[in-house]
Amino acid sequence: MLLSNADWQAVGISLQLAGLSTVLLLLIGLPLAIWRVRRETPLRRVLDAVLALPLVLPPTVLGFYLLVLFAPQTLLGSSWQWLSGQPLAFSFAGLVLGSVIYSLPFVVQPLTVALREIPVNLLESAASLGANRWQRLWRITLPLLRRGLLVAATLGFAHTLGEFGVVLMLGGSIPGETQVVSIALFQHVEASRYAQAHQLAALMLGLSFFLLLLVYGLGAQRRPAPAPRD
Amino acid sequence: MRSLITTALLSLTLHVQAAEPLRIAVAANLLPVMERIAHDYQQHGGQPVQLAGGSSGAFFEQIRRGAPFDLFFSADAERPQQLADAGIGQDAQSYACGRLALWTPRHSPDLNALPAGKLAIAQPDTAPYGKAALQALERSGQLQAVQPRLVYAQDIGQAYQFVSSGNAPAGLVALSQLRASQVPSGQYAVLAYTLYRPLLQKRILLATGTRAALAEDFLQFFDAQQSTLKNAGYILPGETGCAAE
Repeated sequence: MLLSNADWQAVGISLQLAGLSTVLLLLIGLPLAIWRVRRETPLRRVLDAVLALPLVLPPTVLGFYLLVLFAPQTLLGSSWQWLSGQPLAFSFAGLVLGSVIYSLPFVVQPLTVALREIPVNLLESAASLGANRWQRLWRITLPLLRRGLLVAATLGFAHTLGEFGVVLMLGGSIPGETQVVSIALFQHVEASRYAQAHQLAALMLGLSFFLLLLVYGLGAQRRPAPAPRD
Repeated sequence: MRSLITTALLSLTLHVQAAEPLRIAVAANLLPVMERIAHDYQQHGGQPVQLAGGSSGAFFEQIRRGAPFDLFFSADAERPQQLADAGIGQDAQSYACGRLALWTPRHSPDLNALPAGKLAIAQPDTAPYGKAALQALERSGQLQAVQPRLVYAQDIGQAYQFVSSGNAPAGLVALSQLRASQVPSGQYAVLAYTLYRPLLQKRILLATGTRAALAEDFLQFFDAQQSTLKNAGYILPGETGCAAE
């Protein structure tokens, strides 16, 4: 690959953004998914709808609202500026926040499905044997959820990697800070630099394909689970 | 079922025949005044006009690949020329020069005393106004100091939005945008035209066959709107600061 330094920098930013967002997505997504599975309240329907919004909203809508929300005149914008001395828009942190919102359904959904597959009686027996909530989480739920977590993480990572509209709206395309691969690619095309555009596009295509292959590989392994013999 | 499909197809063809407006690709900076001119044109009995606003770079790519626009008003001189050279369209002509302005909604506008925080400019790589903004910063000796604080908008429209949303306290935007939004004149300063190469903007006629005559009819009307263009914040080709090449 003959990527320029600036392009490698964009690749680096994309990977950092996707990586950090994925960690945060798992930390937020897991409790949300557990809550979705365990509780059956009218509030859940509302939460489900809110969680699915990023699936149907154009990313530009999300980006536009976030830009409005990030302005230093708002509570969020001003507190962030007070804390970090930087505006939230045009910052890496702002992109992370946007990505977490944007990719949340891609993490919560597979986690919900995986959680539903855990037999309830297993947890009930553990409880009757005296395991408290945290012990049940650490000893039963999380080990059984390993593949679901991997699928969720991969999907969240891949989706964040492919983000364009939200970043376009609030990134400001600062090299080394908010210029991700999709934006760099867009600019290559607009400036008629097709060779560089092709390289970046091919890299993204390959990476995304590999990640999806991983997801489907993980998904396939889950199904044919032969009964343990011991 | 079949009649349903027939009806659908029929309404589709009818729609195409009935509408058939003049399709014009318009650079973001020109869109507000173009909307007014197109409106006046239709009031004066012209055929329906459909405007698409966006970045000249994106339009250039789309037109090169056969996008069905009848006219293209670019924000630069190079892209229409390149299209003409490639045999796509004809009659590439200068129609105006844009002007850069420093917009600082909460401070008094002074290029040599920029407010703290980000300065929004359009992407110098792809947007002519971005290139001019960078030149102006360089020639005024501010570039080095301000470089780490630059944020890059995809086009001049987004640069404007970064400032108007309050996220960037300052921005180098098109005078035409400020005029179109009736921004109070105390909030901005028009940059001296010696600070950047003239923002010569060209247009090109893309329509062929019978549509070419329709497009030319619109161009004739457009060329008569000089005072509207001037009031909107442009310099006309041949005037000081807008040397037609």
